[in-house]
Amino acid sequence: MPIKLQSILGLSFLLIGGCSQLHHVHIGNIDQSQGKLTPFTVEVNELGFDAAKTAEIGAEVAKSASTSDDLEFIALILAVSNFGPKTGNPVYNDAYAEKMVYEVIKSCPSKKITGLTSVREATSVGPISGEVVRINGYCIN
Amino acid sequence: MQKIFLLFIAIMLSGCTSSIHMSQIDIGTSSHNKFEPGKVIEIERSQKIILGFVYDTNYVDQAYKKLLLQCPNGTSMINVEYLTNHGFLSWTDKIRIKAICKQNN
Amino acid sequence: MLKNAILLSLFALSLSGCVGLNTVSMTQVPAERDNQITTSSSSWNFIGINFSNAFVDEAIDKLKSQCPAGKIEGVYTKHQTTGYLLVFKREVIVSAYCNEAL
Repeated sequence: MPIKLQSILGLSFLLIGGCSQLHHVHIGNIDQSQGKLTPFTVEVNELGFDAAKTAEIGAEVAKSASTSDDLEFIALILAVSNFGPKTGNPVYNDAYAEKMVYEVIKSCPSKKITGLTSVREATSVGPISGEVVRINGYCIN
Repeated sequence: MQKIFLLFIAIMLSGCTSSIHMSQIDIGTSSHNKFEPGKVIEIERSQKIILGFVYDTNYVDQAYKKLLLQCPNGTSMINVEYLTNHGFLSWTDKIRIKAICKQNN
Repeated sequence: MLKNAILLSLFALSLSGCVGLNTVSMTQVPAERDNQITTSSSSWNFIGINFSNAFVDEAIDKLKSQCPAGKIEGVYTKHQTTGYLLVFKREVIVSAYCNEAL
């Protein structure tokens, strides 16, 4: 099998599967003495997109030198315009995890909660990713 | 024409990205793990940083002090979010705290 | 001979691994600390490619099984990654105290 076809197939498998990253995990106290625990999960997912990296990749694969230069320039503009520390890919909405606490409150009718675990993770497929904030917990019945 | 279009795309995608570093929820300590339903208070403090020059993280302490003032009897549930809004050679770090305050007994 | 010695040393170094701390978190430390429980779970990957973070839930289940009818308090969680050349091990190490309900 030619090398180019092998590379395409290999990349395709990666793109289909997606790549999982764990950024932060916090495990809270778990009280198993008050009754039966029923697990619940609250999760939000926002599209993450690294535009500067995409432009850089475009610059590398561009056939003509002028297109490659243009894309490199665009990558530079995007990099300096979106400066700062990043966890996963940048997102275009900073309020996607605002409703988490309200959802956790709604999850337990008994209002008795324990074992809250907060996970910040991402699933990336090429330059696009799903930036996830997930809260697992248990309702005490 | 193509260059103008690319520049337009670059400007549209500039300076409006964010990144949530962590979002953590915890239940207050009580013997019955029950949180008292009440109003959720929201506190937000931020710090603008230019070219990475930053000498303190006082904005976090300010957010925490405001929380202590608003919840004199403690909290029954607390959510802390730490995120960054990206900009042109600068960024803004933010702390968002949401909490349910314990009521007077 | 020297080339073989250098290659062998590099190979031995690559087996020792290089660990980095990703995050650490803690909950309130209880006064009662007689019964400490610890657990860990890990996930191996090649060149940093993973398809799941389910190993975190595995750590929580193992912790719960060590304190089936008690209160798990003072939870201290470390998330670290150890690299062995092209292979990486992601690990969540949890220690806590198991106290009886009052």
